Amino acid sequence: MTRTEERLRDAFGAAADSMPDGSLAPLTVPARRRRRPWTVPVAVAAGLAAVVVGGTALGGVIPRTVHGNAAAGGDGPRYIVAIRDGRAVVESAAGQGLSKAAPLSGHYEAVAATGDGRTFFLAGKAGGDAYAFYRLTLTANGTPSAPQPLPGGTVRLDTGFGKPENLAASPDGTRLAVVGTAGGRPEAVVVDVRTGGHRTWTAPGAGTVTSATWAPDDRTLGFIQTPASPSGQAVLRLLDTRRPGADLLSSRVLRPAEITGARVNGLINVFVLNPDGRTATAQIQGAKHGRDDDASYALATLSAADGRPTGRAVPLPGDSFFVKADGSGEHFLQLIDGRPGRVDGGAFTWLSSAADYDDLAW
Amino acid sequence: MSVRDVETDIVANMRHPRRTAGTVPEAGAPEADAPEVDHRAAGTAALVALFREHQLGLARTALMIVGDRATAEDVVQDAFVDLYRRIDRLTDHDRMLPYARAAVVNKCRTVLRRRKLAFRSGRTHEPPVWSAESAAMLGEERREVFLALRRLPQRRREALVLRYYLDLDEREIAEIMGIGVGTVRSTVSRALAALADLLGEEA
Repeated sequence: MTRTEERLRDAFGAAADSMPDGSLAPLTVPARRRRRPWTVPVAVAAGLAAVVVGGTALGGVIPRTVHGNAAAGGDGPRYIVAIRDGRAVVESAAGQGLSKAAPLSGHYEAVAATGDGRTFFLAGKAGGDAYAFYRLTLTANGTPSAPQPLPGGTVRLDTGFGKPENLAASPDGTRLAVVGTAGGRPEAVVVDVRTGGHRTWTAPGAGTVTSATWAPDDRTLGFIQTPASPSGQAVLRLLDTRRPGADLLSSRVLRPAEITGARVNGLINVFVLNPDGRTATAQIQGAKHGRDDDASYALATLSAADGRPTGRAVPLPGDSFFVKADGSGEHFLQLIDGRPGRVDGGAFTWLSSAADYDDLAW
Repeated sequence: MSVRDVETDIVANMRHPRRTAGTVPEAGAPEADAPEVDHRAAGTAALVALFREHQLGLARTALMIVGDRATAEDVVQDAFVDLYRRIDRLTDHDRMLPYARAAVVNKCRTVLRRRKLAFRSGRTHEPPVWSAESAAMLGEERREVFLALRRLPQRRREALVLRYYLDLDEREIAEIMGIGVGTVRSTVSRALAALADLLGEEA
């Protein structure tokens, strides 16, 4: 055997070992109903009810085989991963509204997506105020893998996973960001999903950090930092996670969370950096009015360079403190009082009448 | 649900429900359907068993060709879905493994054709085995091998994977790639020489 052949076999063996036994998604095949002879073509075309190993038969859903990158595109992603009543579930977003595709075992509190339509991360309680993280992949037809625990142990969060976002996955799927408060101090932790390595940034004093979002460069982490003092001003910040240092406040201020102008007026509760690298999308709560402190809510586009509003704002129907973009940046998920909705092309539509959603991503 | 459960479910789906229960078929569900249905059920069971035994090996094979795990896994799933659709024609169950291998290699070719378009938009599924990220897991020397492999023409790369990862003989490779045995021999030989050249080694 030549040296080249030896190296070839060695490289193949090592690459094969990177795909361990038991880590693959189960077989999904179209289940066909008993048919009469004349129904063959119809059965082949329409008989796509899936059977899943390690889960449950897909109830009432017609999963479609999707080739290539499932992210983005005309009608948006085909699948979402939702947390409902502590359970993770894959739901089809291909038709009108959402339909359940496959539940997953275990209890989780938050989900983040990379935007490729297939790679998701789940956060679940690991005891006390510690959280563990899991990687979940969907096959082209939406069949989920078993959630794989990420290496590197847990992250502690005093505040837990609520809204606005505490968890975000980098678009290349290599890093997770967890923001919140730990030991009473604002903190951002970036977890390397391959090695399990953690890097932590903190800010002195009290306050909060929310709304984690990654830029398409996979290194800039956006968040909203709110000081503890009533006179302090909340700001949108951008942290270069490749630069040395552990000071959260060394990050660049994009803009104040308070926004005034002709187009939009109010307070930014949560924002996402869009995949185009040029814009961000922010959920804005308008000024309170009336006896019940009613407020209007809108989704607005900002410049990612200076935070100024650009384009029109899309009115939202209720108290939204949530926005998640898909991989194209053209479709946005909303979660309003536990009920999911979406914004496409400047219009909001409800995705379900159910109001038991804790989190969702696509 | 276990693999066994899936097999049971699939086979049950394919069986004539009344026949399984031992009751008389109703009018309009002719007895003549029964052998066809049994054949399909047996084929499905064989396909499930094949998947159970060879999914990992086939996915690893696809990984060597397409470079990333998620795509490799999809390729195998898609190949089996295609085989399932043709289950009525797969009468020789002993031939299913070569069919599956050929289907996987063909799906890899399709993926690589599409990927040329996807690269224009600058997106890939995940870092491939030849990426810098993978060097941390595989080591730089192995990454060099994959980088060199990536530079080979697609058919040469396929031939090397089938020969040096799956350890298939020339006849088996010829069948999977749809080429003659002599062509396999020359393709492997040229691929090795090109690879050695790229790696700066003696062929």
